[in-house]
Amino acid sequence: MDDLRRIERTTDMNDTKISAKGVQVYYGETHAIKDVSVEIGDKTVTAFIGPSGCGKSTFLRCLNRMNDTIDICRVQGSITMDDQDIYDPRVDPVQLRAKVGMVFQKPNPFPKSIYDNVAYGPKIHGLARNKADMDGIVEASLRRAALWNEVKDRLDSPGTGLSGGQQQRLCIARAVATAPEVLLMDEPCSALDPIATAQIEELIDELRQQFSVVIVTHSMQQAARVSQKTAFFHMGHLVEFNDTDQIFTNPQDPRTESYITGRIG
Amino acid sequence: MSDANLSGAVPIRKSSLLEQSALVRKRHRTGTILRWLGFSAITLVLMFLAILLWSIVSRGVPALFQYQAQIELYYDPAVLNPDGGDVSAEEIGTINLRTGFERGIFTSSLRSTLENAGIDIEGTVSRRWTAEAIGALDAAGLTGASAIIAAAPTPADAARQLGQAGSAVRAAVAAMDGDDTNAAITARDAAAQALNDLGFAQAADRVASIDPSDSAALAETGYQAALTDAAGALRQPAQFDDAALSSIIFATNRRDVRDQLVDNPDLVGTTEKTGVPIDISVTRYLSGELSGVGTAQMPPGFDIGQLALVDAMVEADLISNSFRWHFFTNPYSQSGEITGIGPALMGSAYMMLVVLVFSLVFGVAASIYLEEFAPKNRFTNFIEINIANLAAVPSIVFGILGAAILFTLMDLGFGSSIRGTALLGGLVLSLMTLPTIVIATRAALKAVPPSIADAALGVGASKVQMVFHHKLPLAAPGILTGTIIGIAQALGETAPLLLIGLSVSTGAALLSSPFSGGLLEQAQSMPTVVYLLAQNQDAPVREGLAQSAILVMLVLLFALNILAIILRRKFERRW
Ligand SMILES: Nc1ncnc2c1ncn2[C@@H]1O[C@H](COP(=O)(O)OP(=O)(O)OP(=O)(O)O)[C@@H](O)[C@H]1O
Ligand SMILES: [Mg+2]
Repeated sequence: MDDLRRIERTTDMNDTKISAKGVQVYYGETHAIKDVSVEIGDKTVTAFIGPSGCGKSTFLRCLNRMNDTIDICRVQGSITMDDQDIYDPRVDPVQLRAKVGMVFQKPNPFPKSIYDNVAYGPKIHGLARNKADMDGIVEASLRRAALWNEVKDRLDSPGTGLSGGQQQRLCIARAVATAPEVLLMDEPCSALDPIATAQIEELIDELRQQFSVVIVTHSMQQAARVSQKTAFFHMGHLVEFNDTDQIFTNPQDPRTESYITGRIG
Repeated sequence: MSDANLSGAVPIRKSSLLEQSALVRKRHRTGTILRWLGFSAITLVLMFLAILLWSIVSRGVPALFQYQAQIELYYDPAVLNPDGGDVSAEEIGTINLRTGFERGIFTSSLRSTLENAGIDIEGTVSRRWTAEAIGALDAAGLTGASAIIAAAPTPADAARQLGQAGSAVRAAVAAMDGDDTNAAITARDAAAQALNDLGFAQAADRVASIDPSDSAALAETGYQAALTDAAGALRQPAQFDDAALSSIIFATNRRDVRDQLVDNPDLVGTTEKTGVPIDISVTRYLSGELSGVGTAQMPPGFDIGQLALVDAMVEADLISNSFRWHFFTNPYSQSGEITGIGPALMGSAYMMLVVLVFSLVFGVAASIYLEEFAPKNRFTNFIEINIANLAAVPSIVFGILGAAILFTLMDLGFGSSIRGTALLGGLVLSLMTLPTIVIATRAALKAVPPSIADAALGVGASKVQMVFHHKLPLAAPGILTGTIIGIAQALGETAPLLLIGLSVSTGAALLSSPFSGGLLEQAQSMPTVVYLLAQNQDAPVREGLAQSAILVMLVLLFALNILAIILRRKFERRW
């Protein structure tokens, strides 16, 4: 099983999807991200780990420019996606976010029906030409998120009426419905029980076929289970970035070692 | 990594759960006191509210019913078309309201209606006055007066005889007051003789037996006052004329009836059974508020002769008490009988419409801009603070502002066309309502969870889409509540409207549709009409109809609030 996976990993690791160089992030006076450079591969799951407050979410939000919505936040350095600078003034963050989907820590479905939740993104991006198209997108997205069988009979019922795990999968369906190239997930399982977590992890592994996935997690086991690459952040620095196996079996930096063995945190 | 050394911690004390410690008891005491304070405050408020409502309802509801005389109103061609020939509307329009309508139509119609109902008008009046005279005499011990009055050829003769006897008694009192005993005896005996001549034998004996020096004893008998009063009462029926008759009903200045005839001259020559309002002072007698006995209990301007006729009309079933429908359609008038709140209701409704459109559009737009798009700098901060301050500005200040705009427009040459219109009123009230709506809208927008905004932005919605697709729908209940509260406030605002002429346009008629210029017609408004009603010269208007109008406003406000609740329920399906 383990061997099988390793083979998979090596075969799938191809081009770089997103490349960050010398990224600095400031919240007013606070220097939250200090000179981080990282390369995120296509069709790869990259895990960000690190103690609370080290800047994982901040860095993740740089990748789809969600930090733009925070007035006091300043981002420096360069982040490119497919060799295009995403902070170029000509780039519309709206267009970027359609390509770089995001799933948040707390499930946040819209207070609308399950169908409308999934259909919203395709609708505003004009991805469906007619109702049948849209139905197809909604079904495919819900199937991707492994939610279709549970909700297919109640697509008109409110999305907020689902269980926490179902809601999170609905949010994943919503994110994949816009056909993104990269999926950012900020602690997607922190509010979920082990069964729902397992479902989502399985899902992430499947999504990897098509997307590049970046996942922030506090669970070392989760990082080890789902990711091929792991980045360890500490106090705003990217301390170590390597193959997940390497990080967990042979960490190069003493800080990484103490974190994964449970001594910092 | 927990510290096993607990030396710094609070020592554990053993105590029973079943007995309360002093601290817990104290807390309970404070809690109980606060609970009671809160409860009594609520009770007190509810009590005042109940008193207020009761006072309004108990006056306002009965005032919505009106006593009307059912009169066969004959549109007499002799009055309305004296030249004969074709009836001309123009000619009717020039007929004098007093001589033509009050006398020619109303008084004669009332007279014939009463006669047809078998009421002897003069007889009824004089019988009541005669009874009054007899009553006065009886009360003084001068019994048997009815025979004397019946024996006299006319009531006027009886009045003269009684008056002479009264003068004799007065002369006797004066003489007995003097030093001349002989003169006193003569005068006393003359008075006794006069009483005896009239047939008051007992009284004559009593006067004759009074000590000639004791003028007080004679004065105490009260004969003189009773005789004079009776004489006065007997003279009254002769004074009963057309004016006295027609003042029972509302017949003066019936411009409305004249206008009706001008519009429809075919009515001339016809007879219509019409409910003509009873004079508003007389209604106080009919409702039992005034008993009609004695000056203090007499409707101002009336006497017992007229009340006798009213009684006769009640007996003949000519007076009905019916709902005052026209109160809701008629324009405001000084005369309580026909005053109404029709144009005022329309004016207020139009103003609310203007307020709704202006303050909602501008208020919501301004709030969305300030909340979502405006850069956070000193300037927007300043604006924010001032919007909050604006909400506390007394409404009369807005009135002054409206007046200033009005004067500017007047200087520019088209002020008089906008003065007193619903549009101007609505604009001034919009200014007042704007801060309320802005504050409510911003609070509602702030209350939308940020995770929803993140979700929307996360799937690539633009900021505008995020606001309009997600935040605004979620904020809608709050915005609606704020709007309705603001509008309800504006509905009751009086001061600014007084300043921009919405109270003086008392001739205002019903307005045309707001889409065909109704907004630019002279309007009235509910609060200013309430103000005018509460200043009316007639107590029944001040104390009755003003409350009715307030009741209507309260019902409207209540309806608005219900609407707010319904809308909130409808939109507040926060799944
Ligand atoms: N909106 C903000 N305004 C100001 N400072 C912020 C803001 N968001 C984050 N920070 C600061 O930036 C630093 C990094 O925060 P970030 O949320 O990225 O941490 P994190 O690694 O995601 O932590 P956690 O694991 O607890 O989610 C922290 O010191 C935090 O206080
Ligand atoms: Mg975080």
